[in-house]
Amino acid sequence: MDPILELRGVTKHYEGFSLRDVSFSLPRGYVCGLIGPNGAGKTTIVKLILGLARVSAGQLRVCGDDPATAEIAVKDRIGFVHEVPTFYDHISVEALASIVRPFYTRWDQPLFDALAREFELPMRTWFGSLSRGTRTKAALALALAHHAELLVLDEPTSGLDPVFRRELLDRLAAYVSDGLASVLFSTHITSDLGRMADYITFIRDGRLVFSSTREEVFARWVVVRGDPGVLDEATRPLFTGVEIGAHAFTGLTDDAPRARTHMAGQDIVIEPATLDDIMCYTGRTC
Amino acid sequence: MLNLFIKDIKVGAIFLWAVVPLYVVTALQVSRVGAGFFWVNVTCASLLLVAVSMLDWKTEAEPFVHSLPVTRAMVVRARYLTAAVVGLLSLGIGSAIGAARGISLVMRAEPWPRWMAGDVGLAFVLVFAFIASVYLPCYFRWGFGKGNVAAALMLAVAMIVTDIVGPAMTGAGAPGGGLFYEGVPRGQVMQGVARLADRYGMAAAGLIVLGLAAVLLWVSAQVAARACRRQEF
Repeated sequence: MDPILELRGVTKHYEGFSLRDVSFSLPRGYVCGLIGPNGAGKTTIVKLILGLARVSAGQLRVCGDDPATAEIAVKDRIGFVHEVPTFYDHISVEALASIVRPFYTRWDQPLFDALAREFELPMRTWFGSLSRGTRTKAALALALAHHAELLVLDEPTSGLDPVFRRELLDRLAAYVSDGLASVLFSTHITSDLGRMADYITFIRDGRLVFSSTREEVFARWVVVRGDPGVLDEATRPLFTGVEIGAHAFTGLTDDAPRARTHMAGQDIVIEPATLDDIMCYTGRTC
Repeated sequence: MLNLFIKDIKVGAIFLWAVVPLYVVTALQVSRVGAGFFWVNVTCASLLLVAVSMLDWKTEAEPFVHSLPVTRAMVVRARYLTAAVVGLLSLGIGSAIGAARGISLVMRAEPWPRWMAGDVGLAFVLVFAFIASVYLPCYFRWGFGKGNVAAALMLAVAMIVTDIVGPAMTGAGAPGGGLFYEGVPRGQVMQGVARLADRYGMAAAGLIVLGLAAVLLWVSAQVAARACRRQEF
């Protein structure tokens, strides 16, 4: 498959935080959910893709090109929505669109106008007086109106009401349906991804935990619950994270068949893990 | 680059509308006495440049700007173009007000003011180019807040050391000293440009000054582009 986004061993060092050796790819026509707790490195990845930060080591390719050497060509094919869409507060949405339009070779004014109508954007209102949701809608309209091949969304749904969140997700699902565009959707609200992500990439403490199709993730990762007494030196290594309560333990494993085999006959319950489970229990030791 | 420059102008238009009337009123008032007219123009031009830079910083729009299909070098070059246009705009406003004052003086049978002359305009170009060439690399290296402090310190030291402003800045209270002579700054730049104009004529002095300003800005733009490449947003 033709990857629209490819990271190979991408490393980025900051003072006090490093993103280390991250590798994953996103084929054309799919949605990838980039998940991880706050401070995991999701925004760093987004910044590296958008050229807002420079890769310390490794290789990053967008639409087959290296953003460091083909910066304009790459950015021309990317649409972005930052976590808090900050543009210029004292200009209107209409003026903002007129500023953004000439930068993109494939800007589609009728499409922008249609999106503005669909999102009910107040075109003559100053950007600074728009609500958070309307700002995100405006940012999304700008991102979609130039036929971006890769949409990069950094926590676009945080702080949004459920109605607009659902609208946004539907819109994104429709966007990739023709198989030409892809979406990288960074979020810590994992329920957003259950409906639409084809791939899940999990980052924690600056390291890649996994990057797989959604089906693989839900087939491999399970949560085991049971009496703490069943945990011993033989069973503990099965889990990537364990939480032990007064009467029960909860363990997370990415090897469901092995857990089933090793713990067969024990007083346990094995359930498919949710993305929240995976985020919460990974690395947890008690 | 042109799109970024147009962005600067569109975004900065609100400040132009707010600052330019104040500029005009102040310049009109100062032109009654002449002295200080030069520095009012330099100050207003510098304020306009700072205001345009402030807009990116205050609204935290830098990630947005750098996410557009542009390179950092383009962002830097566009800001230098904006600085040049702001300088020309200020020169135009100052010249128009100065000319109007000069004409009104001549109509009252008074002499044309010394502070409204070609060499003063050329000195303005050189001083503003110097300010922009110090300010912009600081802005692109350290951002608006720290960059402003760094630029202000550097400019203050540079102006005192090179006596750009005039003897008053260096503490000279000597006879005939002071900041102005017939409304013209006594600083080294003004004196140097006046000497150039006397020796080679205004046209040649103009070419030399514009060349110097261009070299200053070009070197500064290289430094600023290098500084901006190191910035992360």
